[in-house]
Amino acid sequence: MDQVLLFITLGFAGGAVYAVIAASIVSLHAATGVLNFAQGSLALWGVWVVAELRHSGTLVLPVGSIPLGSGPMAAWPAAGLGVLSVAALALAAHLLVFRPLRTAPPLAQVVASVGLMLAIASLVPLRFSTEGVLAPPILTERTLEAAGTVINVSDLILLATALTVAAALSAYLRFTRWGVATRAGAEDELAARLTGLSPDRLAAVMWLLTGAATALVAILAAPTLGLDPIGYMFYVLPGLAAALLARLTSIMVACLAGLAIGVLQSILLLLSTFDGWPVWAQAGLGDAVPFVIVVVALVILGRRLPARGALGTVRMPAVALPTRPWPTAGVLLAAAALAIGLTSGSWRFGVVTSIIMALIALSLVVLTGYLGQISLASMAFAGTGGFILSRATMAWNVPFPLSVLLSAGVATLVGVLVGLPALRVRGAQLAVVTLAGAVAVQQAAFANPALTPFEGNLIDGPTLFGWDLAVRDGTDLTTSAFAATVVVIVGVLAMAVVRLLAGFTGQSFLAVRSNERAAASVGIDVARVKLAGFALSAFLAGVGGCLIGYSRSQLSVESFNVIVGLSVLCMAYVGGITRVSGALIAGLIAPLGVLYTLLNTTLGLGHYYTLIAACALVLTAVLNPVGIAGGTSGLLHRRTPRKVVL
Amino acid sequence: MNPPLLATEGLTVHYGGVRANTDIDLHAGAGEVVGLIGPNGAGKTTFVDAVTGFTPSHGTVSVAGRRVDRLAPHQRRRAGLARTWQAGELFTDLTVRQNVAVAGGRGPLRNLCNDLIGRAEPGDDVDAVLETFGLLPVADRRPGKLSLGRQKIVGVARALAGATRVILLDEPAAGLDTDESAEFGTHVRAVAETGRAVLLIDHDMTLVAAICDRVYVLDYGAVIASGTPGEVLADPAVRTAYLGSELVP
Amino acid sequence: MTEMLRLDAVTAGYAGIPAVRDIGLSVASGEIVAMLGPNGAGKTTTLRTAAGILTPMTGTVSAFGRPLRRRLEQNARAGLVLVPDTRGVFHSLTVRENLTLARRRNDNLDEVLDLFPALRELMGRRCGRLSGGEQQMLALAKALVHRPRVLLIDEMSMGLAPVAVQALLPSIRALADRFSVGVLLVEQHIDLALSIADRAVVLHHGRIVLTGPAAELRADRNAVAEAYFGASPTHDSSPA
Repeated sequence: MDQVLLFITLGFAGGAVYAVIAASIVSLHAATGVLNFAQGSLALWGVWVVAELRHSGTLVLPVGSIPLGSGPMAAWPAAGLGVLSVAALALAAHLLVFRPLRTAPPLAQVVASVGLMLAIASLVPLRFSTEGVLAPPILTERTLEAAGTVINVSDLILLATALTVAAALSAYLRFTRWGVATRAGAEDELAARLTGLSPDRLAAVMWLLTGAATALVAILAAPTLGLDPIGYMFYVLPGLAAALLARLTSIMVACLAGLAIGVLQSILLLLSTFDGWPVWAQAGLGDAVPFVIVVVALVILGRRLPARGALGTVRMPAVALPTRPWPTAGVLLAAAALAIGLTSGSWRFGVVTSIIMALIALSLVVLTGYLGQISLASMAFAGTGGFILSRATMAWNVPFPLSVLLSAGVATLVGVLVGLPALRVRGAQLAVVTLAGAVAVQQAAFANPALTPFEGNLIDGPTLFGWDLAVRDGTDLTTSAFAATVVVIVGVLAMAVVRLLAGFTGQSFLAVRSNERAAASVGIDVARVKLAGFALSAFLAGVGGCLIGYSRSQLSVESFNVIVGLSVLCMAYVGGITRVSGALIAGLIAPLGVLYTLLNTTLGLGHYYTLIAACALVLTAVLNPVGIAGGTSGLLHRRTPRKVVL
Repeated sequence: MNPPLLATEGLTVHYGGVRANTDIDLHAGAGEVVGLIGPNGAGKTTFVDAVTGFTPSHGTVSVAGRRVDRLAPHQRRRAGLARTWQAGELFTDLTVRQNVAVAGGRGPLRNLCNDLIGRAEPGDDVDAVLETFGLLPVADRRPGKLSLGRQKIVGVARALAGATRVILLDEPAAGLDTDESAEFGTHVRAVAETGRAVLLIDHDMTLVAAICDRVYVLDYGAVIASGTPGEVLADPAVRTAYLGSELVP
Repeated sequence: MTEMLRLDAVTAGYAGIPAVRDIGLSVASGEIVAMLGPNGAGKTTTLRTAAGILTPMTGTVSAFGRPLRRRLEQNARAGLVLVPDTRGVFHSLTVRENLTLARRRNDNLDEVLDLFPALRELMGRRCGRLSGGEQQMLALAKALVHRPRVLLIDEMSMGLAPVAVQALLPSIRALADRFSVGVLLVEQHIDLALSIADRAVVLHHGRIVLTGPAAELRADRNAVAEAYFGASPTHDSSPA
């Protein structure tokens, strides 16, 4: 019993951060309609700013830094500066990113906030020396004894702080004039403007307040939770789960739910140490819990979640199919052959990776661009394909094309499973579910030591009718036989997808995307079309995952981690998510692809890649929601004079 | 005697504690254009939503004698019950031809197979529908580029694709000018001539009087009158519902 | 009687398709102009254009002698206030919060509450729990607290019982007289609307087909009825 109490209090620190993130997400959603994926990254930034101040006395800004004195700064001034700098960062996010996007479709808002989340997180290792910096205590280190167990006073203070901060946010919305006005704007923005209120200014205030609140709790909790160059970014997931559990309306419920998730994770940790607890469930369960909660919350409450009414809505970017697919395919095939023939070693590896990534981006074009379902789980589908492939080739001895079909088939099933919540939720909330699902699959499956063979996830190279198609042959890092295999598989699938998108399938996808009600009224079974879209998308990603597996010969959790997945989404969006050509561009600029190889080998800028990708995403979302492919064809249109019919 | 193509019995809709439709009995036979009129807020669109399954209701709805009131909207559409929307709700990303072709209801797997082997579904005669409504010249344009009158006609064409037997038109003439409204009327009449039943909701009394065989009048969610357009428009209760008590000439 | 609101040759609509064409009308202070016509005739479109929600494709809208500002809230603060048919009240807020939302120093809350004494009893209640008639009263009161100079009122009687409408409409006459507000009133209860209005315009298929002093239109009911019912089937007095 005393042990349970101990683990409950140990969960307070994490729970407090989840709680304040959840409360901030609810408040921000009320004020702006944005579901902010970057709230965890804001906390991450604040924690590192304080650590650096207390280490060297230097205030680090996203660009440049200000030395404040020669030695370490004291704890409380440093914490105060940390809170201020995060509040300023949040305000900048509002002014530069979210205010211009306030009438943009949900997809643009989601990718912008995902981009911001990645940008801040990838900026941390670049701006701070993450080696050997610790978060020294800020709160008291005293302990007290209760019910036979030793409890850290700081954990109790964190609990109280989280509750106080949430209560303060709640009181702001309930009792102050600005708060009441914010609630009015949340209910009906048009009516609020007609009453003479300025929702933009109220939103700015809310960004400041929530940025400060999140930073305060995270900074106080950092000495307990430890400094981590990335971890806080993912604290947004339990935060989002708690926020959705509170139906995005009650700040206090969101706060309590966040605390409960923290405590639950801590208790799961305790349970996993008991004898008889299954080995496979020892790792990753704490990450799977938020996903289960989100799914349950959305399925039960789904239809009652409020969608904030906006002033005007901008349509999803228009789609465009290749007008002459066969000649285009011929040119691309020749280009691929040339690129493979002229390169070798790491450059050829970059080319092959780009082609594979184009296939994964294509899976997003199908699902997000055409069907309008925002999925952040594409890399989890690919990973499923890759990891099943490892078993299929090593343990079950399934021969080459069948092994790919089997693995992609399993990925398809996972896709349908992740797609089920899409029958109840849409837009940004679906993005939360899919991201939580991706993290759950990553932590509970890919990174689970109990599911990983002793020698690692090896993959046996493909052979067909006695031909060796394996990626390596002696010192040749990327054989032309393997490259040709990739080109053929991706080419055939791409042509099939173009056919599908040009046919009834594409039409019914677009019908669902543009108007679900009207689609049902013309006899389209919206639920089955959505599941078909998830299945098709997961199949394509699964094949892509198999090809990645073959190209690496061995897989680790890093091959498919969520950051890579989000980068691919960024690239697909930047390339143009509603166009097949956009997938091609996405492939070229994807992680480990041609552009990455260029940055890495020629310019030596490899470690800036994620930052560049994330910033490109935010810029694209704000300036040109159609993406590169759409943008250029739009320019061409403008230059072509209209035909005059007399 | 054959059952009417569309029949509702005791159709009732509650919104919260408010009754938006009360005990509506209505029927429409093959070849008939039936009008449904009433002042703003009388519950006309609610009735269309209830019949087509977009809002929960009590009472029965049957199409040619077959009960459909337990079916989902897309299943009712496949049973032959189609509607248009007040705001058009055309698929803005699809061309006019695709807007019509996508209707009618096939499963996604069937679509997938058809697309991959390049087979057209037998019985899909989209061009014939387009030609009936004079839409062939604009078949490859997006609906947003057409005049409002044309858009309304695309909505009707989309509702007729497949095996539609009953079509419910929700304020199709709103926003049309006088000529467009008259042209629209001839199209609606032509649809009924093919043996389908048409339920027309509209405020344009000229249009209603010109093309409807019978008219039902709703006020505060209940039918207050029914009969031929001449009878109904002369009914003092109807004039009161529209104009307020003192203005009845 | 100074001119408060003026529409000149306004053509407006949605997605590039005009819903109203060539609308010209003006409203002076203390004057009520009723805008009548069947559903779909373009009344709400005209009102939304006058409020600045829709930008006219051609023609101009000016309030208080200058073109409308770009931001809706600027127009609202300048005294051009729309009461939409959805009433524009906030259901999650209390009556008091609704009334004091955009309060400025010189508000006239007491004076307004004198006009709607029933609201005094309801100040602490959530707006969502009010009856339709009470909500409509609140909508008018909320608009008046900001000392508007022009009120644009859209279908106040939507969803209200006739008794409630008969009680509410005369208060619009009172506030026009008392606060010298210019009112552009869209109302489907034609006779009631004409009984409180100074002038009226009738829209049909997006154009103004009839305009004149309210008293004249009241006297010549057939002309109005014709706009609604087309050539009236009960009369043979069609123009030769």
